[in-house]
Amino acid sequence: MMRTTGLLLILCLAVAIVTPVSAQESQPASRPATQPASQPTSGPTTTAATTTSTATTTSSQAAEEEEPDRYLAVIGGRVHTMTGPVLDGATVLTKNGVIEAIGTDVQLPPECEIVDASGRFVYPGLVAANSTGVFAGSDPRDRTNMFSLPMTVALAGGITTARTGATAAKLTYGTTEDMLIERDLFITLRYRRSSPLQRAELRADFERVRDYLRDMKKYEQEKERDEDAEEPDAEWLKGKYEQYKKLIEGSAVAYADASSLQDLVDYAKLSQQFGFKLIVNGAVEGWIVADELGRANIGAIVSPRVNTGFGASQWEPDERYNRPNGWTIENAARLHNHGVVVAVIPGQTSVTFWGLAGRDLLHLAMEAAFAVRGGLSNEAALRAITIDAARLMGIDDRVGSLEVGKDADIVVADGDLLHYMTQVHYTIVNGRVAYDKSEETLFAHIRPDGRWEVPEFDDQWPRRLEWPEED
Amino acid sequence: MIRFSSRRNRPIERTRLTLLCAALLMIAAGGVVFDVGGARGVMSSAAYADEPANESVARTAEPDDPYEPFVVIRAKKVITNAADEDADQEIDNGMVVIANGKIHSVGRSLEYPLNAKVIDATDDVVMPGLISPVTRIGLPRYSRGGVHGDLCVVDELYPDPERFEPLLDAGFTTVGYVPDGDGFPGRAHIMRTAGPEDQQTLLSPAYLYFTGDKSDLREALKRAKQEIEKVEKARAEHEKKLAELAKKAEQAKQEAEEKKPEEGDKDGAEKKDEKPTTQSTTQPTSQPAFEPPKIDPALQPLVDLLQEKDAPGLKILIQTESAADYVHFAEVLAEYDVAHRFVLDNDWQSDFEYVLERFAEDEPPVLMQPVVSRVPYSAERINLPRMFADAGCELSLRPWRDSTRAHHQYRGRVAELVRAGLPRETALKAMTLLPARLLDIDDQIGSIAEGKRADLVILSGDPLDPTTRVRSVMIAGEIVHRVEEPE
Repeated sequence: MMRTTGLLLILCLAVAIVTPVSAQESQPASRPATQPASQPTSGPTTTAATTTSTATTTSSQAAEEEEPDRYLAVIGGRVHTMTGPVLDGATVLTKNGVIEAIGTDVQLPPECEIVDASGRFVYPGLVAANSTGVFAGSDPRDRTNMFSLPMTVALAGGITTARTGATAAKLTYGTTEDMLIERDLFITLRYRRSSPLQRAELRADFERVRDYLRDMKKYEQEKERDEDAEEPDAEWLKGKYEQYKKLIEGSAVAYADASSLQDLVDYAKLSQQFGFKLIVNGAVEGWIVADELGRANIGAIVSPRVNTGFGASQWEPDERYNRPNGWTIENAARLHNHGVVVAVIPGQTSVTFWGLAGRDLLHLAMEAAFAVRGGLSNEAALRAITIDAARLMGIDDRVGSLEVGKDADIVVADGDLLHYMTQVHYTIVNGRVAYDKSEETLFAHIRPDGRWEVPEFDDQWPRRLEWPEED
Repeated sequence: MIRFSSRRNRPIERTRLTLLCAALLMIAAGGVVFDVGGARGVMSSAAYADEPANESVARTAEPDDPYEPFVVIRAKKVITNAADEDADQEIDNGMVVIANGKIHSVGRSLEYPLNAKVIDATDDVVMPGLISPVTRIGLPRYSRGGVHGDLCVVDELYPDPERFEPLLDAGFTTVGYVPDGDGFPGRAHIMRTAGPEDQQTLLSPAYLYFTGDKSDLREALKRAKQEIEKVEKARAEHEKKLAELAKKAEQAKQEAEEKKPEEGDKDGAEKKDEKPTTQSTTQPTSQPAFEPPKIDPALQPLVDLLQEKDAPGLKILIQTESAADYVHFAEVLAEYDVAHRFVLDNDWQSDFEYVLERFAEDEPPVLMQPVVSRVPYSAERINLPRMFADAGCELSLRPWRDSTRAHHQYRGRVAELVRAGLPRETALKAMTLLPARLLDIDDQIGSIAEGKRADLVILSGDPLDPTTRVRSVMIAGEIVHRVEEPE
């Protein structure tokens, strides 16, 4: 009896072993099914593995004619996932431009492009919440020069996604494939003290739409009781009214340029009153009313070093005011502390060539470091140029962090991105190496081997004010 | 009898017999034919026997117009640029025999009638005339946008005897005149720079010229496709209608057959019957012919291209300013399959290097400028035309700017490419034969080969030597332009 059960057990085991192997043989390109994933992403990885294997079996005949799967793996780096823990020596495997697996013991498929990141830092591609001169035209796929220097330089700065106007697009070097993410990110509002008529009109429009929505709700309730209930007139609900309706219903996001205290407070009140989501660009004096902005659930695109331009700036603190005013480097930190989702951008949103360590798009990570100088934590500063910037634009389902199923936009740097000495070595967009420092003429001469001692980060907020002890 | 041969030192004993036979044969054949033709000349004969003398005599026997005198150019060197790889590309101490404005024969020693006009260029070099495939020299600036496939430059040409003087000075015998404007401004007109007026046009209307961006190209092709769909839809509707009519006619026939036996009641039934009978009688005899809806004439060439109709010279020449432009256009052309060639504006700083691999995949012919560029944002110099030629593309060249000056500098610029590594033969062909092929006129011009038009240029030395001057230009077998010697 015992013997038979033992034999049965062995048989079962044999079947269990044989089946995955045969499945594997039939589709050599797919990832091995028996594959332990890392701890933090074990759930998603295993599910991804099973789904892909079933997908390949169903479409294996069709796939023969199509292009083979495109694999790229970044191995051995210190992976900052942004939304998860930091993984040392982990592998990020991407398939056809999408992250397939993240973990310390990911098994690589036989034909896989490998980017060696051992001893380097791996981040999600940076998201520039504002940019000019990288993309061109109303549709970036039509007129963008995908070989242009601004694009290469932005990639050298680690940027993989940028916004221009209401369009978010990828920096796909040399191709327009999968370039566009979204063309209608938000609806731009103007509600400034400087133009009171426009203000009044906007307010009246909002009230009209709000009243309509209220009447509509009332009508829907009445309809159940009274069949003759009159439906509110919706003939006028076109153009701008339709957009405002979307805002109030919460299916769209508003965007406004606002930097002065008064404007910010006004916008905050307006968004609270009508209950729409708002992103403000600038928010120079936001730190003064950070609590109000936080309560109004406003997102802010800020620059820690406000572009003061040439000569005297209007944002220089003015002592004649009997209140706090002007810019401060602590803006991002204070806003963040009050729950405002903050995206950091440099003062100059284009790629400029009139000086190093500048304030242009190349130095997005450095700008985030200035936010750290103003009191933001390292993690929050990195989030402000990745996942939080993506969240502001509503594209965090595709970019901004390293997660299974998200776009394969990866930055490999030779140190902490917030350190001023750090150079980006590889920028990967949609699973393709879009920037390779050693190939481009821009920075290839700086630390050509790319290996250097990663500086220990101990001088962080709260800053040690006393001198280090000498011994 | 005149003999001439470059191989006089040949031991005559060895070939004496064959030579004699050949000479006799030739005289006989030539004499007979010339009697018939009534020509005034007496043929000279081949001086040596191992060339197929008989054949050449038979060839010379029937010129198109026997009264047309032959023209012979004797040159220090004849650059033939022949399409045939086995043929001589360059013939030292060669000669070109021209009859009727066309090349009759080219070689080292040939026979020609006694009365032939001999042009002595024994110090000079003869080569096919240069081609400026995309130009507006001598035409006024004129701009329009949109798609104008029904227009051709020939409509704006007015007689101007001095228009081509500067081009003739530079040795150009053929120009491809393009319309001015953005988008598809119209079709080109390929003509000679001189010669008899009735023979000036080589191909017209020729290629479609495109300058614009991706959306312009896509929109134009989309509209052309819609025109095709419109016709197809109308045809389908027409066929449906025909089928319906046939069905009705059959029904009526059946009804008529059914009603035939009951002819008794005529009062009400007759009127009812009338309609179907008239239909059934008229329809089968005169079926309505299909009248396709009119296609917008401005879009007609694009429609032809999409339907792959066989029209000589019909293709799109796409002005491409950068690598990104190429990527954009290639994307549109992957969607719409139309005959096209890329005109690359490779300037002093050009990034076409980035798309070289993609471009040269199918080894398409390409039209470029003779410019040694710099890699963008660096001091490194690259020879883009050479790179494209090496990658397997048939390289054609054109002056680097549409100005008289650039046309005069043309040979010098090409020489610069050769100095930077472009093979000499490729460069010479890129100036003559290959642009002719690109414009689909290589059956007429582009090389010195039998049957082609005698559009030649006589130079004081090698065409790629910077000290070389153009001495004279021949079009249709006549010297039409002489460049005066500088004092």
